Amino acid sequence: MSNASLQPSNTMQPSDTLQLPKPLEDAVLGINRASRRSFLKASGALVITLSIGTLPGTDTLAQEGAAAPAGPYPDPDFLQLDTWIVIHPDNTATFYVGKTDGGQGTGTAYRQMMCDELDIAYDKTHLVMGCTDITPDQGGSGGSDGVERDGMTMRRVAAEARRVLLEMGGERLGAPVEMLAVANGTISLKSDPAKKVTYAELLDGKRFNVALTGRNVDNATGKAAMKPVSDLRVVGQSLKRYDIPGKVDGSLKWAVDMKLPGMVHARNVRPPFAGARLVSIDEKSVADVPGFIRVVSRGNYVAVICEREENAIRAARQLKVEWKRPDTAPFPPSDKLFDYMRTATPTFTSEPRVEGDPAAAFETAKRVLQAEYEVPFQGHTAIGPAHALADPSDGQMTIYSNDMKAYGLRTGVAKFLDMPREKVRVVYMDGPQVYGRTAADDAGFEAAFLAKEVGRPVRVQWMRDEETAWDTKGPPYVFKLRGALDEQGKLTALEYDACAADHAHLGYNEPDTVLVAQLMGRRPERPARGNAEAPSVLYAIPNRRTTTRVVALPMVWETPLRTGNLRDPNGPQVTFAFESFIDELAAAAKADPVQFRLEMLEQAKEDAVFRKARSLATVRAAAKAFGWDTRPSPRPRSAATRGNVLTGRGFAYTYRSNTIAAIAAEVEVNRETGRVWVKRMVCAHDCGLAINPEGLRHTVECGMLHALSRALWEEVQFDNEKVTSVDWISHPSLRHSDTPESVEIVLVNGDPNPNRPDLPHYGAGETSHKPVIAAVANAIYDATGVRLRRPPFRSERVLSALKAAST
Amino acid sequence: MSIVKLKVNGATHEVDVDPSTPLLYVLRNDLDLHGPRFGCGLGQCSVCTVIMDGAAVRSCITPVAAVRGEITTLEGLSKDGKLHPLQQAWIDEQAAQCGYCQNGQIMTAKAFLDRNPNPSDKEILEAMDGALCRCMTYYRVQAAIKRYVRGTKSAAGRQAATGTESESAPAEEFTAAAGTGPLMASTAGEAK
Repeated sequence: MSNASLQPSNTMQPSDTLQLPKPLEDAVLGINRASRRSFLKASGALVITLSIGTLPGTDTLAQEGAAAPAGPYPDPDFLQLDTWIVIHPDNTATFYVGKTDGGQGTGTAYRQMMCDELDIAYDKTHLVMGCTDITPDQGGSGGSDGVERDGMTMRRVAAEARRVLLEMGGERLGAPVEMLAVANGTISLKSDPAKKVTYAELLDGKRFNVALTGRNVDNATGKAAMKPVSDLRVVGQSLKRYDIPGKVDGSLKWAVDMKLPGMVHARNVRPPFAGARLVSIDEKSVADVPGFIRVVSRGNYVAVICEREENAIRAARQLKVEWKRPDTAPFPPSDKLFDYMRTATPTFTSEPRVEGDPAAAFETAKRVLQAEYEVPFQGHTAIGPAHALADPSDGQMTIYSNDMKAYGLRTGVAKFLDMPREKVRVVYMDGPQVYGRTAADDAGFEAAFLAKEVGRPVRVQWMRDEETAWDTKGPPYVFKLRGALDEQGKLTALEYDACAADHAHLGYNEPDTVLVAQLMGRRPERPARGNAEAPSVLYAIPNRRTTTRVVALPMVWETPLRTGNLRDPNGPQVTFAFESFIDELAAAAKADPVQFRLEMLEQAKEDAVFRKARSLATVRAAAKAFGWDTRPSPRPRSAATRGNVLTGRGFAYTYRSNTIAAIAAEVEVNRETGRVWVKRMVCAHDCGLAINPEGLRHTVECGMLHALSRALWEEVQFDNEKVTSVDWISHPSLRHSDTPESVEIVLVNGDPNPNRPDLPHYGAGETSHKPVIAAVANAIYDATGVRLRRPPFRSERVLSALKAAST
Repeated sequence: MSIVKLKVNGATHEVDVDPSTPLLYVLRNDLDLHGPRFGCGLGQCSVCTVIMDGAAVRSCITPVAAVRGEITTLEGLSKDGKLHPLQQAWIDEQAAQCGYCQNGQIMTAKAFLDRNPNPSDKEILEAMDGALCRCMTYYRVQAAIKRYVRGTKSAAGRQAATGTESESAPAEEFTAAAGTGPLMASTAGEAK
């Protein structure tokens, strides 16, 4: 297969009417529902043929006109091959998967995997994701397991399609399957390549009509085996992402761009302080706004609807609303948060997990170290605020959304509006980065509610202050760690205690916990328990005690301090504390930080996915690529100093699920200003088989820089009734001028049998995000001898720490 | 409401809106130009950037009545169906992740590079500093700018040598940086 044939096709062509990505036409226009997804362009109504065939390829792909009424929208059957793959008469294929792509290029990776198993050229395929009525429910995205888990299902069903087509080809060409060759969607005789037949000719416009088996979508499979890794040709290529051209030339239609006839614009009017009670609305205060339609309010939820967007914004600002403050402060101010968390009564306390005899080990320790760490609330603060368009036409509800969990949004909205699920569908379209934010897609619920209220398509979009203040946030943490070192400087015991303010954690599209539901007064039977997590530890530490607890802020509901899933919801916080403390122990033991870790990894037990071997390989690869100078921290002052700048290097390592990441960072700390500049980062990364190495590198790199932004800048600030960091001035983010001089990604395959035919492909969306804050803190310590135990490491905090230490 | 005349991407439009309406909503909702997007409404992030008579302006805080001269949006960069070389550089470097901010990155870079076609690295960082990206594609954006600058220079060199006009920067071959087989990752834990 030549490289040229692997180049991705350009952007999908827009349709005449709605200018949607072509494969979305079905979903949006409601055509071809009976056949589900014939892309045969029919002029006028044609006869629908849906015979009940029992052999592959006996059903004709039906064609019908575009005039069919909307809905209902039953679930696609994941146990039918036709749900996943359609071969078109021009011998191209469309793949249908129940995932979404927040910009990490997973869509391209899915296509590559399915192309390989189906034996079809990449540029002869399209991919449709996350549209609830035409793609099988794979749950959308989350947890970085799309390539790892859902990709396996995709490979299996594509392999099954190939198997079925090969059988049909054998029959057509009069030869057993062993005598056939297949490439680029064409089957030929090995002995006589001129005798050939294409996939399209075999199917001849018919369906596969092949049943799959499996208890659930993750187990769906046919009879075919997947190819061994050595036979994969499209996988492993750094193909360019198919979605980028349309994002660069302005032609791609995003969820935020969707328009429908009769559509109106809504804006929310948020309570000015947490826990506010709506007293009255003076609707006359917006009577002069052109195109004003109405104010919709229920409970403490208020929105205005206007014909034009700018007028909805104006009306939302202008609307006079009287609110009543709650009797008690909803939360402590951000500068008192950790004091509050330390003394609050836990809402959940885990059973202590004890290995060995930590008490005895501490008694006999040569040296005991103790440290506390704090991580503040950090938000998603997506570059594009929440948005959705909902269409209530024909008694159905269609939501155009970038919800990463489109299926959950569908189910949640159906419950929220008390509509049958079959009448609700979600059309997933591109949107701003997600990382868990749209797992609880507030705007989708709001748009659907408002559309039902006014009987017209409603587009809602949040404003910047609203998004930055009210989005879901990563939980804040307070950690206490104790470690025991023996005579040789070995870590013999570790106590880990974590407390997270994560009560009522808002994970998903639940009809009683999304913000609009809370404001309307809906409550779940009991709040989500929330979680304080233990670190991902492979290190051999003979005696350990782990305790975790969750606390609640005084106000649980209708508060902007809502915790949700933020890019490995607890990983960056937990890894910051744990890997900082490991660094403190190494320094106390006067050991090199990398050697200290390697020794504990070498003593670790191996597991089924070879995390020990892969961790060792990854840590070594990072140190090698970085040019790690083996010595204890901190760096001798004379070596670290260059004028006003102190330089140092730090290391951190972790894993998430089955993926390993080790990061080395070099920093410059300005003694006069306190500014920290991370000059260089190296990440070694082992996620097994790389589907698209360049795409993988990009994802790993951006995950690191996102974490760097959390390390240097990000913190939600609030007084005792409202969030006060509400825009890009009061809530700074990493900028161009903050980027390191270089970020290097080393892809590692540390599997003990690296060429095995079933080498797994693990997730990559979050692992490199986890260890960055710790690596930076450790580098700052190396440079300055000052330990920073609370991010973000903004200049003023660094400067005061340096001054306190007389550095 | 009043009739406002706008020249956008070479075409003249008349829209009947309140003169205080931010240009962003007129472009998106009346002219169906979706390149500029809402990011903050405060002129802080650059997601809504358009070029007005050569300068990058934030359309979210520019009243439509304050528009002077011709507007270029992201859609207006390509000519005759051919991408602007800066856009091609963006594709070659695979600059986007989610892509929501990339309008701001590209339009900010375009206005800057038109003024300063041969910038230093430091000048690039300064010029781009107001263009926020929450996926943190900053490197790729900077790489795309540098690729474009290199291409422009070599095109100018060729033009000087041959006396012919060069429409666009030469597209550098996109190479699969890590080889051709599926086991791109180096084996047995040896770092590449």
